[in-house]
Amino acid sequence: MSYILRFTWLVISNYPYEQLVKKFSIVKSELKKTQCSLIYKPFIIVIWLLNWAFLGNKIEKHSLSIFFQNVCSKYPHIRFHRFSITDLVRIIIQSAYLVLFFSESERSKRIIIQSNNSKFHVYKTIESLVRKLIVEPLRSGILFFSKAGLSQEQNDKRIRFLKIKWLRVTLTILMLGLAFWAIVVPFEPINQLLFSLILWMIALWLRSTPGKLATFVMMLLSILVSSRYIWWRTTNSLNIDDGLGFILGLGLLAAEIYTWLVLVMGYMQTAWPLQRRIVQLPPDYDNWPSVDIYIPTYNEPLKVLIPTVFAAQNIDWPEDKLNVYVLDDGKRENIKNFCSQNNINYITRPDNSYAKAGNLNHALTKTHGEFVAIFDCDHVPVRSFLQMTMGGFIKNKNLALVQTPHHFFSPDPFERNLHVFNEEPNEGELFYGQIQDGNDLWNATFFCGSCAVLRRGPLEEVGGIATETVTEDAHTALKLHRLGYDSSYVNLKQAAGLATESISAHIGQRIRWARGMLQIFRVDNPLFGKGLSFMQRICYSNAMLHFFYGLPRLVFLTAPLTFLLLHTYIIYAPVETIFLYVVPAIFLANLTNSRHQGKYRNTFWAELYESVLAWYIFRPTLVALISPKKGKFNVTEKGGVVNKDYFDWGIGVPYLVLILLNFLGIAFGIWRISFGPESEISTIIMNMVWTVYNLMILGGVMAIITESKQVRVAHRIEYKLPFSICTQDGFVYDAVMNDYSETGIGLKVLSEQKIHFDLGDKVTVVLHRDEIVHSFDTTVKFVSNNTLGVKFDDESLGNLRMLIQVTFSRADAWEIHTMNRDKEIISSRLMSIFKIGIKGYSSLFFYLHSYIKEHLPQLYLVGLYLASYLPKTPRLSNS
Amino acid sequence: MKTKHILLMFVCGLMSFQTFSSSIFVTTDQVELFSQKDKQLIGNWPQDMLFTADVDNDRWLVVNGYFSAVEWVPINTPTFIKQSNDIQLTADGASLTLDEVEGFISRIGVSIDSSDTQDALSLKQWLDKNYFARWANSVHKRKMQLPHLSDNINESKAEDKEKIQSTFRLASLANNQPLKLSGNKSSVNFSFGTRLDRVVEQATLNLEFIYSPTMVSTQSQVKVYLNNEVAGILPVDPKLAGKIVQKQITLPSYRFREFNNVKFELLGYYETLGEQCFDPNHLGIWFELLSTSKIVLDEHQLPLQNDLSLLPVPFIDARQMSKQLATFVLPQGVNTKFVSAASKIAGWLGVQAEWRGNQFDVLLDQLPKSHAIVFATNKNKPYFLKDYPEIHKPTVVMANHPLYKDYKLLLVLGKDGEQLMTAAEGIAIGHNNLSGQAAHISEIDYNKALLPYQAPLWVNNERPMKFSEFVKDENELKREGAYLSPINVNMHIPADLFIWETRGVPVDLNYRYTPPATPSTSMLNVKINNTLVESFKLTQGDGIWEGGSRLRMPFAKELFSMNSELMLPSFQLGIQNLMQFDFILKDDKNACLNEPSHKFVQIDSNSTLDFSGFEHYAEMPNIASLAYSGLPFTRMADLSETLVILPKNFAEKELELVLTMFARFSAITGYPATKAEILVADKDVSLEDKDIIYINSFSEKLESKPKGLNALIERNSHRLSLTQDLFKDSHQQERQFIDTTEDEVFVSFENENWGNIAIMSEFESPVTSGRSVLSIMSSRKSGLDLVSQVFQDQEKLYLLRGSTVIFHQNKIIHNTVGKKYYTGELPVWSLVRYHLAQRPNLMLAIVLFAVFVVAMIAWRVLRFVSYKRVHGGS
Repeated sequence: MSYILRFTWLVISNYPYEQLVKKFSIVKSELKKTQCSLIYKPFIIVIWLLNWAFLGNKIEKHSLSIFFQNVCSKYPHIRFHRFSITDLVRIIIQSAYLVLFFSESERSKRIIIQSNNSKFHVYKTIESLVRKLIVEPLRSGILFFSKAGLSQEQNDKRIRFLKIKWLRVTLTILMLGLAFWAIVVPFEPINQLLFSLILWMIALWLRSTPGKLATFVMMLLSILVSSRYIWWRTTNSLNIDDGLGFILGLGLLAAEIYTWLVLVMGYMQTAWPLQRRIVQLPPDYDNWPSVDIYIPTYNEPLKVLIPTVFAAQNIDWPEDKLNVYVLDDGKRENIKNFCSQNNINYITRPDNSYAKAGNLNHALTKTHGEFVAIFDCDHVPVRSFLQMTMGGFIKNKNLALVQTPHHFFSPDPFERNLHVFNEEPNEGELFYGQIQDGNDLWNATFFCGSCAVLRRGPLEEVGGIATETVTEDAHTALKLHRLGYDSSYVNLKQAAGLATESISAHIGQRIRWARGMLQIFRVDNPLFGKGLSFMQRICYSNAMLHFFYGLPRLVFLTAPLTFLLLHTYIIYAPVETIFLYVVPAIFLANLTNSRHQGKYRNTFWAELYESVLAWYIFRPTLVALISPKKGKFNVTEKGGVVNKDYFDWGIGVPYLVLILLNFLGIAFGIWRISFGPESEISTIIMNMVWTVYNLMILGGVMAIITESKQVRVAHRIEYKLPFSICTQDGFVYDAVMNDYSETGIGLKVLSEQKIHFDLGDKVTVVLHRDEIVHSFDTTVKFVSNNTLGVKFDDESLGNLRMLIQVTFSRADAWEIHTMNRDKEIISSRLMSIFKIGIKGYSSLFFYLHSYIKEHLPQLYLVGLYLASYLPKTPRLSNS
Repeated sequence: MKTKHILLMFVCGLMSFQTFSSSIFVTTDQVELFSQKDKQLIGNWPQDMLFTADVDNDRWLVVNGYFSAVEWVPINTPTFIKQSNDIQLTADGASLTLDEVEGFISRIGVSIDSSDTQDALSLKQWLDKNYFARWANSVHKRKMQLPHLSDNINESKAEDKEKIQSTFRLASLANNQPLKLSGNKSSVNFSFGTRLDRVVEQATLNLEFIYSPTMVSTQSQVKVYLNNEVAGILPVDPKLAGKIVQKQITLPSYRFREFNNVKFELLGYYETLGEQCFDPNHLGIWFELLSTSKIVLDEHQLPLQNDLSLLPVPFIDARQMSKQLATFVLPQGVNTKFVSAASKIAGWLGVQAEWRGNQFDVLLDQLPKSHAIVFATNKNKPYFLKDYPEIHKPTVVMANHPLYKDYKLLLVLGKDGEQLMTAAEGIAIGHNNLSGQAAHISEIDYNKALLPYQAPLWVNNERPMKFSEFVKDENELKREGAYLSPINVNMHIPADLFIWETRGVPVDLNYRYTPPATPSTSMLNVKINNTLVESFKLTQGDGIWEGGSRLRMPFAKELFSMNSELMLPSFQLGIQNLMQFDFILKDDKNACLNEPSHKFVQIDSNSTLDFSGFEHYAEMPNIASLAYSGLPFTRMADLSETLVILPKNFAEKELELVLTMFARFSAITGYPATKAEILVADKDVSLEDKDIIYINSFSEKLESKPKGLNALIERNSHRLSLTQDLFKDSHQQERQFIDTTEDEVFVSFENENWGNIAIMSEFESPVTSGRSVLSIMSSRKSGLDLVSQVFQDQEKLYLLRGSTVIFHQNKIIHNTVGKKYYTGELPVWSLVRYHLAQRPNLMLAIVLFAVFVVAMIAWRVLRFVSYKRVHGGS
């Protein structure tokens, strides 16, 4: 047999036969090494031979096994040692992928790019180039012009004639009349474009012009352009011929009118934040009135209560005129004991009727202080609280309420889940930073349930804290205002508390607020009742209207789908015209708000906040609107922990449906573009752009409801405070505090040299506040260069009380958190919203993945199986 | 002697023309008529009866004709008069002397003015005057005693008749259909009418056509129908296929009716192979008539009865599909009352002519050889009515032409100018109520004045209009047959309809159709002026769409596009706006039909079109709206707010123009323009509250030349203001109905030339704002013809636009100059918004100013409030 082979070989080639045999044996052994399935072997050999035939001697260096390894690296998901038919399909798909999309050289390039992150660099250079070439000159130009523009003093002189009231009134009416025409006059598209552009340019210019006058002009321009849009929508863009489109269009229009109303009323409400100064107290202590401090509690753990109580006791006020009461509705023994041990008045009551309001009212009957200060059990007041707030009461006998902002030293769920704590303004900042201040101008400061002082007389006159609704606070304030009492707002953070710890708790809290506000709207409507001034009515109405946002927000999130899915024109107008009207309105509103309240809230973030709540808030608000009696008080849970990252599926479901619908809309849109009539393309694109924006917002919602871990029971509070530490060796170092909590301190030793600390070292921390000096024994728990983390050794109450005296009770403890923010750039804000959205989707994908893995293993396996067909990126080959 | 010869020649000429070979006699006393010599007295003739007779030997005269009211009437029954002393032989041709003639004339009481050298005044005229007068006398005295020996005056022989040949191109009769037949059983229709006063003697179709070689000769043919009966067959000869074939078909004259229809129907077949299905719509089945095909009608004039109930026939005959010619005869030296009367009649004729158009000939004291409308008062009569008895009441008389018995005269008579106008108005308003030979108009009493824009043919903007209001016959809303032509609905929308901020006119459409075999390709296309509005699918279901499909007739070009000019209606607002409903019902291709199925479609006449809520307001000057809608004059359909000012020495041309314009306006509105005021240029003329038409009379009023005037002609000197308009792309403006751009005078140009030129320009009335003045002037009278011609010709109307139109012999140029002004009324709300919308710059300034002031006030007030809040009460 071998002879015949040898003979035939010699006939066709002069290559030595022995060599050939040797080669074969090598190949054979190599083939064995590969552990490749029998069926693949011929293929491998053929490919190898082909390679060999084409590349000739080059292939010599690579033995068959190495060649095979290379092949394996190119097909990372194929198991060559075991043959399966489906693998053949995978090989084909992967081969196609490799041939079409992948080449070795490109891969090496990509690796370089990734390592240098140069893509990012390119983007940055382009951005900076644009900034340098276009934005900066523009900005400097605007600045240049603004210098030549308005100055307040000049204006002051010029408008002296406005002192005459009738002239003022007639002039206003006349001018508003003129402006009215600008709302109702339609323009041809090109004129509308120019009109809007010019107004927009003016607004841009005004944006960098300091002064309230510029703000007012911007607000008025924004109102004007928005009103133009609303007018145009109402008169010109309803699809009156199509029943479905008409009804849906009316729905959208109603949502838009609501938005417009809130915008206009918001402008009115916040036009002039009062920013009142502190009124000095009389120097004579005897004239200082007596104050009862109420700390209502229901089920909060004692450790939440303790700092509050200690801090309340710490408040600087004549001791005989200051009484701290813990009002325990939970009737808990440990709290009673704690109070008796610490010399605190403990009040409880037989029933729990009317929840917090009832609790407070019960306490009113038991105490006798002239004034009542109320703190939620987690709100830790600073020592200056009463000194800052009481001055007004003494000066103005008609003043019944002084409210201070609520500040939270723990991140709220938004901040925590988006990881923006202390970086971006939180949700409450707009309300306490601007709206309450704006309300104050109109004597319409709301009572917010905590961190406020009330005069007992008026409070008893209105029958105590209001019990008719679940937002007893706002309703009480309304009642006081109705009787003609004054309120004021002191925008100084004189207390701080814990934010809600989870998004579901947050939602629960908001539902209560919304329900309560709408109950007031129904039971005691501020628009119609007696005793309020016009602007008070506006302020209250706006506060209540605000909580209607659920439905409009949902409408906006689904509006483009009506066209994409149902093919109904709900806005019956050419796309270009819609853009010409809506874009200027949105731009101007955003521009104005960014200037006016950018310090307190990021542009576009309101939509995130509202969208998260929209689904949950719209039903209770509707119910409350229809039957205000329904719904009961729920206590907001605080002081809890989130043990691990998780995705709140329960909350997410409606939004997942919305996301699905929107993706469906996008798919429909693509289908319509491909197969629909050409004339509709621009409409489809507009709706798709809208849908993409909605998807981004919904992605943001996803990001928000992805709960991040929150394990700290004691929150770290950033606070820069110089102090000193003393080591066991007796060395004393100057140090500066980075943060503190109830259990420990983060600090940085101020020293040129690196000072050596070991874990477990004992260090004494000396903290002082004015003349009070306390020292604490601590253990080092963290070391990095000169930065230390230390833990208190003694966690007794006495020690805690001392700690609170020198930390939480500091008068400036929270004011330091006021952020200094630059003028925001709206476009980058939009980008950040998009980034948040994408983050939301990636976390959604992640949790969806693990959810399916956990709960639907079969489906997961199927998915995994299907995914195995997808082409894979090759492994780095050995060569 | 010379005169005698002339007279003789005329007599002979007259005789020969009238084809009687006998002599003329006149009775000097009452005479007796006999049926035979000496036997059977059949009647009497009064004195001064003029007749013709042959002289028999036995002193008998054989009467063969007499001059009746206005014409010579032949007598065919044997009638004899005994020649006696009573009957004086006045003329027998041979022995007529001038003295005898003059004597005779003087005896009748008419004197020939021998000094009158006008050659036309002759025996002919003498005859006219004489007999017309006598006849009229008897009519008016209600002594209708004219002898009637024979009633059948129509019995005249055909060969005596004057032949009239008229030729129509088939293309012009086809109602815009192409002259093509494609597909088996396809057909094309041509319709035309025969005037009531004419009879078709012979009709010939001169056809040129070409057809497809695909068709099989044995089966294929084209049937030619006249009034639904086959009148001929065009065989398909394969040898001639693909070549131009000429063929004459004589149509039997007896089959002609008032309205005639010639139909060509193609029976087309091609060779099918084996089992292959015959496709009736095969592309190879076609037959095309060339545009040179025509129909030649030989007709002759037919005398009509003298009956007013025939009106408007014969002056306007609806059967005639072409422009309607009317001749007006006025006496020499007429005043504006006559013009006014004539204009009323012209308006009436315009209404009757509808879309056909009118052309007017005005003759002063001349008698044409055609139907004519004659105006006369007691003081002022045309020569042939000189002896017409005194008129006491406004009178309308239908009479025979004195010379040509086949023609009619409509006499409009009055004691004075006022009565004349009443008579004219009587015809214009109440012609349907007149009958008999003559009528007195006793009283015209308007209970209600017309409202603005209330015109029979105009869309009503007070209520939704049914489709049945737009068509004469509801059958026009139906189509039946194998091949369906579109259903057309015409409407007139006044050009000054304020179309702004509108989404279009809502149309509630109901329709029915036979269910189509292939619903996927069957649809109803709705078009307006050839632009597609919407397309509905026709489903296979019940075929009734009563639910009402609502659509909107767009005004803006396209709702969903940027370039919609707000003021610009997408469909050119022409004289008529055509809505087309094109049903496309497709047969099943695979069903093997030998001929396409019979289909029936219908637009429900209760479908509505709703123009309500639209206002009338327009930017002027805009001659286009004059051309299309007659605005601003036709705002009142009776032109009651129009004042026409003629030059002092106005003559035929001015009158023709006035009449043409009035007829045009009336045709547009459908209501005769009876209330216009017509005056002669004079400083005392009150111009207040009137829309004014100056015709050639401006130069007479130069002292008060209004500012808006931008063109002026004084004899040969022409001055004209030109604008930036010059630099515009005129092609783009072609379709533009209203120029919205403001134009300033760019250059004024003055020259002197001797050509024929007319200028029409429109500007705001210097007396009353919101009123318009239209001045039409020409260098010489004939120049006005250029204007009249344009008004007569619908094809040229589109040339009339802008504020100034210059008519040259060979071209018409328009120009937009001068100050803008607005006519019509808008509610304040729309008015302010509309005008502000045109001025975005102003709006911007207002906005900024207002916002700044309000902001300042707010700032001050809030600062004060905040101070008070912080520092307490003070």
